[in-house]
Amino acid sequence: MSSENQISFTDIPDAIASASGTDRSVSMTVDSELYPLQAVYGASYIFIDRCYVFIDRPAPGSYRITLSAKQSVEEAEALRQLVGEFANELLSCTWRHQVTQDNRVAIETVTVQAIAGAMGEPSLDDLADFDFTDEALDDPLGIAQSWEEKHGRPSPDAKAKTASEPGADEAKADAEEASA
Amino acid sequence: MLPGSRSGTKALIKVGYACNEHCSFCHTLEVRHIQGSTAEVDHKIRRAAELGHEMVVLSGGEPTIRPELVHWASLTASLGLDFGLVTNGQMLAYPELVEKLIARRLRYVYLSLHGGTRKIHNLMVRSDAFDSAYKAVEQLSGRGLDFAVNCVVTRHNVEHLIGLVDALLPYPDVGVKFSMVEPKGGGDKLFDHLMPRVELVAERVMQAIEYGDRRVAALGQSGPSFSHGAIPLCLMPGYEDRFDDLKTHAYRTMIEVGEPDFFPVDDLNKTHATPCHACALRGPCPGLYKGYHEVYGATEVHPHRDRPRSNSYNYKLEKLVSVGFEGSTHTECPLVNGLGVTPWDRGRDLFVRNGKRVARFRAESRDFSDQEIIEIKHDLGQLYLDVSTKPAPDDFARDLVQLVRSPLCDGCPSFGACTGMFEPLFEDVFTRDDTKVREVLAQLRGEILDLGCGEGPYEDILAPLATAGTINYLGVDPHAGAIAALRERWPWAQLRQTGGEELELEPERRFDHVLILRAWNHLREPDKILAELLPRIRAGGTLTIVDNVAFGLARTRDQTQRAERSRAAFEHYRNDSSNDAARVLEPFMERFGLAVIARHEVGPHASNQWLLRVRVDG
Repeated sequence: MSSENQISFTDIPDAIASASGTDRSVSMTVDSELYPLQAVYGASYIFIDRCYVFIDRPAPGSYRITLSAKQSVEEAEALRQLVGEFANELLSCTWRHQVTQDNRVAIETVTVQAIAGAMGEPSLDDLADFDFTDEALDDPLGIAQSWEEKHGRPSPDAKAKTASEPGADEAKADAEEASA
Repeated sequence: MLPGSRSGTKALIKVGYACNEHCSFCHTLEVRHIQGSTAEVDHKIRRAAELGHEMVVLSGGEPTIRPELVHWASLTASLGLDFGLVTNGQMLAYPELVEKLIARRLRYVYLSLHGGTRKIHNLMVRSDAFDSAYKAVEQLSGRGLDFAVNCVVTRHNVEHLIGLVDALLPYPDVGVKFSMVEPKGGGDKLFDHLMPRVELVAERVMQAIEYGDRRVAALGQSGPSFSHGAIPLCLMPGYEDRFDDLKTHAYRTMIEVGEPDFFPVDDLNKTHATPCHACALRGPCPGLYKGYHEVYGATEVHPHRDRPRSNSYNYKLEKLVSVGFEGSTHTECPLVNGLGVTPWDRGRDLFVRNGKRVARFRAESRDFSDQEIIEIKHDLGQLYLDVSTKPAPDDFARDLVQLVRSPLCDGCPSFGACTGMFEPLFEDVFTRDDTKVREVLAQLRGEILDLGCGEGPYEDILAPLATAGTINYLGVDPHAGAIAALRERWPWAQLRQTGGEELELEPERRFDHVLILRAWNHLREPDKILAELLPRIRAGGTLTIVDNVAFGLARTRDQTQRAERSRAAFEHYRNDSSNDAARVLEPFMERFGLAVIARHEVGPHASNQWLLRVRVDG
């Protein structure tokens, strides 16, 4: 970024945000003690339809987020708006992260009790033998999801509430094609 | 269990019904939203180990889409059991997952592939699944697994089975199975659309197997092997021994989501139609799906009555359950306390108590169907402990001790559903019941025909009557040795060596009494023989039929091994009861003025010998 194209925002400290008119991009540096990485990811994700988002760590204790607009941005005001929106989204994500952390024990307790309640009380042997070391399955191809989830279709219990059964007709049509 | 072998007993656990495919014939179409919890499946895996199974097989829905899959494999292996999967195979396209599962004792995979091309398979399962499933075959083949590929045959792929054979030829360790579609779930809902006629399925499957065998031989490979399921054996001539089902895969029990305990695998979704009851192939034959039979009937099956079948089966000792049992009421029964009532097959599992000892036996015989074995065990009560050292008992009174339901079962609310506890009955039921036959013989007068006289077991009664001139005796038997021996011993008798069907009598020959003693079930066509003999019985004369129903023998491992090594040939064409014989007589009753004058039925606390005697009034 060349210094002659550098843009300053009058209401945002330079140490936090600066913009480049040539690259149509804006960079922000945030304190990692104030904003956890999960919140930075969450806020960045909101912007990926409008911007190319780059995250790096220029120095220990801070994250730098660079938003580069996909569409042409001519005015400094538009870049300032991006900075403001990102700052608010980052604050929102940080707060939600904090609430989740505070309630994690309660959420997990309720979930475990619901599962255990359906089965009856597990024995101490069950708990002692439970293997927590098995990692989740890697599924880069997205195979391990139900047909209904993958195709955005209602589950059979939801279908049962409706009078017609479109799935059967589809199966019939597909199978006819198979035999052709 | 050795890699690739099929002897380990399996417990099948349904982990949930969600699936990443949507087959038109899906069995669980209406319940695809139901998933079992992790804790529920964990509990069931532990229960399978407790019941003594050697392998846990997970099924669904699709078990491999569950994130707990590796955990369940680990848990199973930690309990000392092998692990298996019934799967569409898509997830097993990932080599890393296959490695993890094999490291956790994956030994068995039953994978669905319904066509040899993307077009056929994908449209059958309504998903873009072929590439993953086919890659899974490649991943799994050559790993020492017991590996089966199942192809469900509907109207839509019935003409494309050879394509699947071609696709699987590169994998010689695969067992390829062609299964008739079941009218259940989607198969029921879309019955008209999916259901092919079973005769057509049989024809196409035989063509595919014949083609596969030929290609395998031409390539000089050891496989793939080919089998079939849910197709009546009479429609698979020459391929009867290729039948394949849950029992041939050594499944013992299964459990659905939400069920409190395991249940035995059974064939109660299939039926043997009335014409099948006398078929020699009935034991291993799956019969027809009930839903199919309701729509199409049994017009396509043609029972085999010209082949001999077994008249007994073995219960092999599996385990000494207890050596210090002292209970006296059903509340103390080990089946009610701990072993469980539902996991044990009512017919094939047998618990015997003798004093303080309780032993468990198991019948794996496919000479008899599940339904036949239940009838023999519970309705007819024909269970015996083999106390001989012979390959086959030939002196029942000495060699066998009858087993009857234990008094422990009295008043038990699970009496009718339970496999039951049995105890020895120290009473010679054979001699007692044969007394009735001896009483009949002692009253004989006049011309006698003894069809199937054998080695002459009633000599002490017949010889005095014959030498006194009270009877004039003609004995007939197909065994040359038996007739030759009788000729030496019975100078008073006329004897002919011939079979019942081949017997030629002089046109004017008439009899006062005809005996068919323990020879009825050796006759291929008893109705034709009755049509020949009944007109020859004088008015006031009698026809006496005596025979045995089939029975189960509880044996030690050594006895079972000895019996299974024996080369004794089957001699019975049926195992008719007196009811069956009465049905054969029915069309003759009015025409010959037949009246039943004596009938002795088989039942618990009685031997397996029945008697039916009719008077001919002319």
